[in-house]
Amino acid sequence: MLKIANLRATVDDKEILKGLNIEVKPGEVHAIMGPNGSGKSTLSNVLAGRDNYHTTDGTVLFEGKDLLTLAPEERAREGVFLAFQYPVEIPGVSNLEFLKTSLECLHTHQNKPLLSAVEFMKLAREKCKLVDLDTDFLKRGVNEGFSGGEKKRNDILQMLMLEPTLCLLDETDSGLDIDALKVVADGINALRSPDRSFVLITHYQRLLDYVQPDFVHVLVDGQIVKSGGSELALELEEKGYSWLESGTEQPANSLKA
Amino acid sequence: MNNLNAITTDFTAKQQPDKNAWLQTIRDAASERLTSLQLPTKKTEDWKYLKLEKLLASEPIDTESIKDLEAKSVNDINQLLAQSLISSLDAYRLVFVNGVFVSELSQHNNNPYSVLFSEASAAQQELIVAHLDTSHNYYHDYFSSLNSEQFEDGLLIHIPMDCHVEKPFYIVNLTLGEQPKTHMMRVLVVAETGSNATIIEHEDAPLKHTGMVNTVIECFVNDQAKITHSRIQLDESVTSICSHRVQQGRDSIYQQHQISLGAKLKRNDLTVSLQGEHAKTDIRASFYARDQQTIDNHTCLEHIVPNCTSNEVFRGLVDNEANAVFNGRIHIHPDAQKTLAELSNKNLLLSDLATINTKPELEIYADDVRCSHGATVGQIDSEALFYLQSRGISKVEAKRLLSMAFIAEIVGQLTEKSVQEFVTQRLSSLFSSLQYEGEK
Ligand SMILES: Nc1ncnc2c1ncn2[C@@H]1O[C@H](COP(=O)(O)OP(=O)(O)OP(=O)(O)O)[C@@H](O)[C@H]1O
Ligand SMILES: [Mg+2]
Repeated sequence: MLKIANLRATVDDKEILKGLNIEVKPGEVHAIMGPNGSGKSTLSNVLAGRDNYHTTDGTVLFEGKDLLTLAPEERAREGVFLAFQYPVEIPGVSNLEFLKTSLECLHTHQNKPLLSAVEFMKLAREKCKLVDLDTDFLKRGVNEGFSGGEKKRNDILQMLMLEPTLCLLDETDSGLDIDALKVVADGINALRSPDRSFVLITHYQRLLDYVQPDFVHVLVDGQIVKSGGSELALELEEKGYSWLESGTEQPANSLKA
Repeated sequence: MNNLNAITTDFTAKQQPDKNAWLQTIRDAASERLTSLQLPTKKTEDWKYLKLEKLLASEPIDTESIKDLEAKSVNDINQLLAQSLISSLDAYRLVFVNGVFVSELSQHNNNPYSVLFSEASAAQQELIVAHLDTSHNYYHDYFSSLNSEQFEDGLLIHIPMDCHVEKPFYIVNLTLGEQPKTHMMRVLVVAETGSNATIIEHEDAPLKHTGMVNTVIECFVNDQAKITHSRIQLDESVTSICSHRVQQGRDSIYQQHQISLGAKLKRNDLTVSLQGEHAKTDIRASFYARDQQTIDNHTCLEHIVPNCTSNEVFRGLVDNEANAVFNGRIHIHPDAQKTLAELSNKNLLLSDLATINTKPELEIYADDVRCSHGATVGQIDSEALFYLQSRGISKVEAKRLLSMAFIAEIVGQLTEKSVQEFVTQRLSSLFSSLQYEGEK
């Protein structure tokens, strides 16, 4: 599904990703953990196609296609979805209009029949319920005045509507109360299927209690320094990152997820 | 003779109608003023951002569509025009085509409040003469004086004392066909003490015919009266110059909501003078100019007496190579203590070639006032753009959504739902027909 090989990327001429390798197969859940500033959000932004991020080396294949040559909207239409660490507010564009436009763009690209207004509303209401957002939120501007947790749930709502094949969630669990965390986890689990994959960027074990990852990777200074199974997350929770940063571990390239 | 001369002589050569001979003193006064006034030039401070000569040069006429039109029956034409109206609006509808009242398109049964100047009773004539051109006449400029000298007919809306008119007045001015090239619209609103009314003005050119309109609107909002005034200017093909003067009495409220599209030249002058204490003025306007259009907004709030409040918000969206001007003046006279005046102008430039000149001007001669003003010029928020793109929405579509969003706040304040919907629909179909530079 997703194959990242030796990816190097710069932001404003500063190298952030320094030869990163990950392979995600259909149906898998990967967790990426790592200290602040190690490049996790940079990775998700590079994958989503934000324009001030430049890749200087390496390849990213998504379902065999070169992802890096596609415009951000084309990536989304192909089935890549990024839940942002900091979702932006867009006053004046209603959530409903936004979701409808977005869904239409995806369905058109995927040669699926477009939903009627009634079908769309039904779907939107149903998904709102799943993420525990009142349908009033649909009428408000995108994330406008939403609390931190509501913004995250709004991103999950979009994910549930758009049904992407690859879901990248950048700290969607940060800043959530216990109930909201459960809602987000349920949203993810509701979408899990053999042909859909997840990459969860997180700092905490608690999300992984609900969504069991197949693999856990540790990103330090722009490289994956260690990969393992779900038990690695528990180990990190206990020991922190310092034992990995000292460089005693094997280089990431020799580890295959 | 160049085009400009042709147009100005076209103004002056018109026969003066004698039907409204009782207006002669007003016309004479205007002629008198015109002897000392001149067509503004680049050196005229209030007009300095406009290349007026170029802008007034006549447009090529779309002869094909005129021929089509000539072949149609009056009925067919009326039917066609009817489609451009906000039909679901329950209102006293007064439709003008090229400045001439068309009763077939209007709906004004049981409307005791409005009358054409040409049909005014003796008492109404007296009222008109008592008000016309009396609002702070130091603002008389070339174009409004031309209007006073030459308008053929006018519309009076007179709301009697303490009368609350439920239905809005819906005044439509459509530009159509080749003749006349220029026309004068004249509207006079007199809201007596304690009265309340809503006025919706709609300017349009359903067949995109070119022409020129010179409009003068005067509103007298007397003590404790309230006027809500929406103006939607959607006639992109028409060169239009409008002078709009409002005079407010004690405890009166004047609210204006305006949505304007650009044109080859669109000039809007709004002057509000607050002449009674505790009067409130609220102005919310938005404009959108594209291609090589020009839109020029000049506003002036005259705070003459103490304890009045004015709030003015202008939002401009300027695209392609369009040129926009916002000049917002607040003039606080020496007696106008405890004035509260706010002015904000936010602009979004959608292209590198678009220009905006924005200039808030404060003139404050009283010491105990609260006054704030701000103007910003920005570009589309790249974070918002990326967020939309990351959900599969193309850059072009995302820009459209964000442009609409920028204006939506003002559209949302139009008081009538059907007007809101009409404007939203017109704007979105306009935006979706546009191509942004460098985009597929
Ligand atoms: N525009 C920029 N210019 C310079 N450095 C930048 C820029 N954007 C990001 N960086 C740097 O890149 C590094 C990686 O940032 P990134 O946001 O990817 O970290 P992260 O792993 O997501 O951290 P966190 O856990 O705090 O979210 C940081 O040191 C950050 O300061
Ligand atoms: Mg981050």
